[in-house]
Amino acid sequence: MDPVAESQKFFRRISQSSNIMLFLLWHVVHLILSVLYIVREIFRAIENYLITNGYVKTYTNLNLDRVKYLGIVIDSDEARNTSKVVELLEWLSALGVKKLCLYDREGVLKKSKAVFMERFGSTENSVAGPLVSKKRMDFEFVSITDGKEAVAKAANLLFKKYYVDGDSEKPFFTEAHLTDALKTLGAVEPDPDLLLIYGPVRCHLGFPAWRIRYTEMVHMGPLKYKKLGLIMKAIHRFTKVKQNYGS
Amino acid sequence: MAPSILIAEEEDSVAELKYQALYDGLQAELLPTQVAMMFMDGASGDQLNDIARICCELRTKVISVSTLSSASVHRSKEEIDVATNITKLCLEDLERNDIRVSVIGKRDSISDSLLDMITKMEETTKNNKSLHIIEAIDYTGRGEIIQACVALAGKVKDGVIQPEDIDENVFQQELETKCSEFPDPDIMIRTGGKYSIDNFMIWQMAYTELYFVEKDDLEFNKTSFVEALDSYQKRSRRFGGK
Repeated sequence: MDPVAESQKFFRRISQSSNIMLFLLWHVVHLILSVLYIVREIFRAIENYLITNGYVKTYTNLNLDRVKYLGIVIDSDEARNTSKVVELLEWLSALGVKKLCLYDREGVLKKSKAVFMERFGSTENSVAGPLVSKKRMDFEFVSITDGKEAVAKAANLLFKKYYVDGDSEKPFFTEAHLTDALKTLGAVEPDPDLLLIYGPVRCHLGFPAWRIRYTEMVHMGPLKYKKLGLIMKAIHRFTKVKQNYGS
Repeated sequence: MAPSILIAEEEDSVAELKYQALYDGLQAELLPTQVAMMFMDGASGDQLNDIARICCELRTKVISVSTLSSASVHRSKEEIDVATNITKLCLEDLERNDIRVSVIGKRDSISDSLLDMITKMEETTKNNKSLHIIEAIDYTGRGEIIQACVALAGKVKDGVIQPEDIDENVFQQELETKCSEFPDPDIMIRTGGKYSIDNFMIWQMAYTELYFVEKDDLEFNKTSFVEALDSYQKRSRRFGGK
């Protein structure tokens, strides 16, 4: 018997055994993680029920003064479900949110602007009860054209104003210049304090970059699975965290 | 042996097993090409070495690192020196592993000694291709956009370009991240339990997966990093499309 071949066979068997062990271990770890995710979702559903029905005293008084401007990002496919968006807005209105920025990439929400303004532009009470009594909200509707494209246009305004004639001094712009140029183009609202993101993907989908430097972002999951309790929890968490704003 | 030491050793073994199990489940083709990391006060040399090694093995091309304290206003040069991450990496290791380093941000906020070190590291590693580590020092996203405006204004003044030719693509070419082949991060990992990007790469992160970690800098280890990558590869990304 060739000892070299025997030892090679031996080490190959050990290698195969350890590969099988790691393979099994990976699946065990993922099984544990999957179970934990399921348990977490059950916990979140229970938590949502308790918060929504006022059993958790911590969330009964949200300090909405700290959320001066709330942003909502919705995946454009999900934004086409207007009824779900209206339900979300009803919840936010009932919570007492005053100023709201609605964003979706393709501008679907912009096209439904009239629907939202009509439903939430008055102070009439809803027949459904005190939880969904409507209060007036100020809206801003934003899409991808208000993001990078707007910054490029604002920069063009500055270039034409200061540098096309060729007699100007060396270029010197500040953030204030660009902010003013953006205001000239119609972007006059402040930066959102908190951004709630609805959709399958955990990113802000191109929300105007100039306006989110210190914005807290919370991914809320798909719009069809939205929960009032989790909105209250996200707002509550924001109001409790000390915001440094870069200092 | 004291029970506390035995427990610690057992926890280390479990952590190592968990790390190995997660790592072996990663598929390079589903992983991010560019990773952005935001630390509150800075990472240790060991943490950076672990992250760089994992990125090299998994063929991640670019990792951008920011320490938030170095981007804050009114920081002294000494504070910025301490917060800088890439100087904790060994130049010989970078060369051996074919890793390139670059720095973006305001260089006039950096002390002369640190600036010399950074310049040497950038020059020595500029031809390396395996991994590109970009450190943001005293960097702000808005400041980067303004700098791009100034650069384009100069080109307009010199007649190189007309204002109406400037769009977001032309703009992107003037940002500091133009030094990278992949300027837009696929995933942004932030430690410290805060859920914002704090003026870091605001232009580049339109479709970046946001992964916020409750752990602080010291607790964020290689297992935490691999967990983030594992979470990334499970998500479907559409980059704003259908």
